[in-house]
Amino acid sequence: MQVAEAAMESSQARFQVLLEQNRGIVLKVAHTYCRHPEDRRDLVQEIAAQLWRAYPGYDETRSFSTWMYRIALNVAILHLRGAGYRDRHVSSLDDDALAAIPDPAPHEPDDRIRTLYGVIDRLDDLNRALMLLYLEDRSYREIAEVLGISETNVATKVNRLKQRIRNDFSDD
Amino acid sequence: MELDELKTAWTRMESRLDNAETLVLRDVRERKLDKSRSALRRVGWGQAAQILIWTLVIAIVAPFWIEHRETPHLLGAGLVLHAYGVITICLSVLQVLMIGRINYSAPVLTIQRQLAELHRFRIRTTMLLGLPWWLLWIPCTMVGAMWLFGIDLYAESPGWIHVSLAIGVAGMLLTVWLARRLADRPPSSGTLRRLIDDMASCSLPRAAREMDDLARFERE
Repeated sequence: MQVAEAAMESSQARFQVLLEQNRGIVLKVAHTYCRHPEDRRDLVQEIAAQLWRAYPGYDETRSFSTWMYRIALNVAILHLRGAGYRDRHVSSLDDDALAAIPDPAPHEPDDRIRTLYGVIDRLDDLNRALMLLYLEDRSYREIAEVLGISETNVATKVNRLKQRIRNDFSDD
Repeated sequence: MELDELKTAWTRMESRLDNAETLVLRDVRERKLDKSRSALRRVGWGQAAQILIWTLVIAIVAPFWIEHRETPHLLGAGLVLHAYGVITICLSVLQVLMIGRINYSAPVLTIQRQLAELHRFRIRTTMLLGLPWWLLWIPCTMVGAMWLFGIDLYAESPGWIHVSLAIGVAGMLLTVWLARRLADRPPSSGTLRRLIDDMASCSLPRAAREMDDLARFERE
């Protein structure tokens, strides 16, 4: 009994360390799919809960970040499609929510982040995931593994995304 | 503007990530995450409760219709409830199995396809199990009255049963008609809106579009 408890403690501690080391993944996924701070905190908690539940099945010979991206993105997309959520917060860039993010350098303009959120908000769930992974400088191979499509398909989609953004901004 | 130019903004956003959210992650131990309930887990528990309730109903109804097998209307009422219970249990078990096989660490497209299938299945189930209640309350009342008070409602007042059946059929048609009308002007309540969508079959094309979007994303 004590051995089982000790094993559980150690597993929880290991998980805590890995989560702390990779917390940026969870937070960035939450920022990509949620604008409203309260919803975002709910999503962060839900992702952490799902990671913890899935952790016993994690194969340590494989990349932790790939495993984490898959879970975080799956939970975020499900959360986005969840009850009543779409109508409340997904529609467009929320200035109040953006203002609520603490800014360590308040004198710099927010235009770039605003533009970034604007671009993200125009994308569907799956293309948001693709864009996030691309902005995170993940290899095409890892993006393909996370999304479950071929590397060629990833390359095609990234090119389309680039073209789309170019067109959107040339129209504006 | 180029996609690669947005990487600067992305890096800048990283430095502005909300402290409150970081705290949520730091408190993982205290928050007892394994006990938290996601929407999908709640659906799973709801289905489990449904299975339990209908198993109890069948345990009451089966001896009831066996006992009254000589009285056609009581036999019919019991059999209808029994059949509805079996269908409800089967559909709930299927949903629990579908939820159970969802493994979030699988590739995004695989999981989203499973979720879209579950969504479509749930819409069909809501329609299949929800609408018959316009009529189902009649055998429920008949069985309940006989089982609890020994009163045979059909023998006492067959006209009441016939009128109720007619009202039930009209109610079913009215529900579909009303739901289709309201689907164009959705109410603010999310739950009510989803229920109306399901009753009017409006959610089905949406669920089919979800599947198409996933297939397109995989193909292109």
